[in-house]
Amino acid sequence: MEYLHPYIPILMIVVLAAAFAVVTIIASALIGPHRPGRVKALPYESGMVPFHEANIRLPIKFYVVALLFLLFDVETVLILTWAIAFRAPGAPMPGFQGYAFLVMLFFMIILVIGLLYEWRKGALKWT
Amino acid sequence: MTTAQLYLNCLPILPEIILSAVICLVVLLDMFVPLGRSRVVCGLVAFAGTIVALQVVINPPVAVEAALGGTFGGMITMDGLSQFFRMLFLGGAAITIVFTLGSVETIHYRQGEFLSLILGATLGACLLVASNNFLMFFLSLETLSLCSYVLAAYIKHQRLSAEAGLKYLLYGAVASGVMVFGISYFYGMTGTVQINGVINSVMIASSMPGFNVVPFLLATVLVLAGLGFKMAMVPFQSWAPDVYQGAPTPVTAFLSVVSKGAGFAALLRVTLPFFATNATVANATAGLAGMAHLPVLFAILAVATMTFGNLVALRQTDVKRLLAYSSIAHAGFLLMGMSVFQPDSARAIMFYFFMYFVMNLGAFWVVIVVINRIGGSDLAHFRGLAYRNWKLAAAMFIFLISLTGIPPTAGFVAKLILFKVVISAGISAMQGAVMTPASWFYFGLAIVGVINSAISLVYYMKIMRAMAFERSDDSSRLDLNWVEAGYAMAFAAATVGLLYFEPIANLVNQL
Repeated sequence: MEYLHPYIPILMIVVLAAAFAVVTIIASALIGPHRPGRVKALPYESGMVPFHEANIRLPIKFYVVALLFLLFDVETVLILTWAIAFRAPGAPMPGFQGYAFLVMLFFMIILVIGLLYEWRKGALKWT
Repeated sequence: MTTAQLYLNCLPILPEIILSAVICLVVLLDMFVPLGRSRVVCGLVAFAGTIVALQVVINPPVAVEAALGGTFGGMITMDGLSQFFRMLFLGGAAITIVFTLGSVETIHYRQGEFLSLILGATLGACLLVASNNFLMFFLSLETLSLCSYVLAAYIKHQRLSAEAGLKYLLYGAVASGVMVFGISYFYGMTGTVQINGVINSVMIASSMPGFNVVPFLLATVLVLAGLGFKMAMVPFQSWAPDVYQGAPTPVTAFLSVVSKGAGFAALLRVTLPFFATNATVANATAGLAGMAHLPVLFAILAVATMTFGNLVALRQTDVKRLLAYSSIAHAGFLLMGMSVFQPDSARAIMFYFFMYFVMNLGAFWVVIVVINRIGGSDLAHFRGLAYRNWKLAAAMFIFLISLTGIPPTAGFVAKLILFKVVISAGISAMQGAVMTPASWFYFGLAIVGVINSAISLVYYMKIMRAMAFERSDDSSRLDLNWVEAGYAMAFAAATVGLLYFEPIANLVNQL
């Protein structure tokens, strides 16, 4: 079991974190004062006043938009890391940046084709 | 490393690059070509692109041969295995594209999407067999899977097709999850995701005293679950009949050769280094040490898979469903080769797969023609086919006896060589004239295989009986167009012509 020894600190952190969360909740429930009111019992909506039930039917278009957004979101993450590596000191060789540029260019072309496709298919139309 | 080498690095995956370009082109064409012409235009472009990619695989540019070995930091490897299966996958894609153009099932839909999904799945399969890194391995397997899910559900208004897509997706998601978990075990044990690195570590560790085989076996079984799903291996086969029946028939044909082939190619990719050692054959049943479990594991899976497939196929009345069970049974035969850990058995598996590829695609083409002309794939639709169009029935007859393994067909040669490998493993395990447990093991395996071949004759005969000895209500002559008749004839000719199997044997021997 020696190979598990390096993981003992991780186990300790997991146990501590769980204990902290559980103990805090239980302690505040036991020790804290309880004076519930109507406003206090309302669900927290980041400052907005809730005005009807939360369980309503959402248009399915939201899901399509979320899916399309996800694609471009991931793309942003990739481009960010690419851009940092692009200007990083100690590039492996002189022509590396041109190569890296071409690679990203092809990626963008494929992405633009995807965008054209969803545009043409009417996935971006709301009505 | 110079700049030129960076670009040369991309040359080994030139076929995949061409394939990706064709996918983009087909998607673009599909958007701008009017609906009436999109079928032909997209079909021709996709077909031409696949043929060009196939050509590049067969005759690689000079630089590719120089770069043989590893590329992209060892993520992609080019060897006989990847060349062979890439050829097969691209050929399968080209044939499926023609199937699509010749089938009425998908005629009311835009073809560009359909074709680009088929090409996308092929791209995944090609990268899978070439990948030498578990991350690349998983990514390409998912590329293949995701495209296949959509393809299975392509006929949206049909209940069966939607059901096929959903079942395939749910099953596939679980199988992939289990596989990644297994890969994480391998990473945890060896500290690398490079496939050859993992295998080297495991082989070195297994020869040491005090090697604990349990985590290794656990990880192997978990990874095998993901691949077994693709291969339709028992106990991961239950999606196959529903998906094969519900999916459009060109897709079924594609799944039964390319997707199944990808599973076997991936399995060979991870087990091939073991084959080269030759060390595990003699002690296959001797003890619990080292890798001796793997042959036994594969033999059990092989027997279970072929017996299950064959027995359940006996009761089927839908020909697509019947062929699904038949393809499960064939997966069992292929796994039988996996239980012999020798380079010869890897070659026998590839050889068998090539023959299976030809005869199975032929059988599915006949099913497509019957669906086109008679309107269904039930056994009832095959009734009296021999009197309505004897050429089509004769072609189907050849495919069926080939799938059974009766001479003079490709299937016979394939089975012959596969059984030969298993039996000679049994003979080489004998000590003089004395039987050892290992030789009993291999002889027993071969006998089970022969019994299964005999069982399979029964259900293939059911189709033949329906074609030749039963009459349908509508006995009018069936006129086929030249594509339908010509394609069936070509496949039948290939199935018989592959009795001259030397070119294929040479191809396989490059491994």
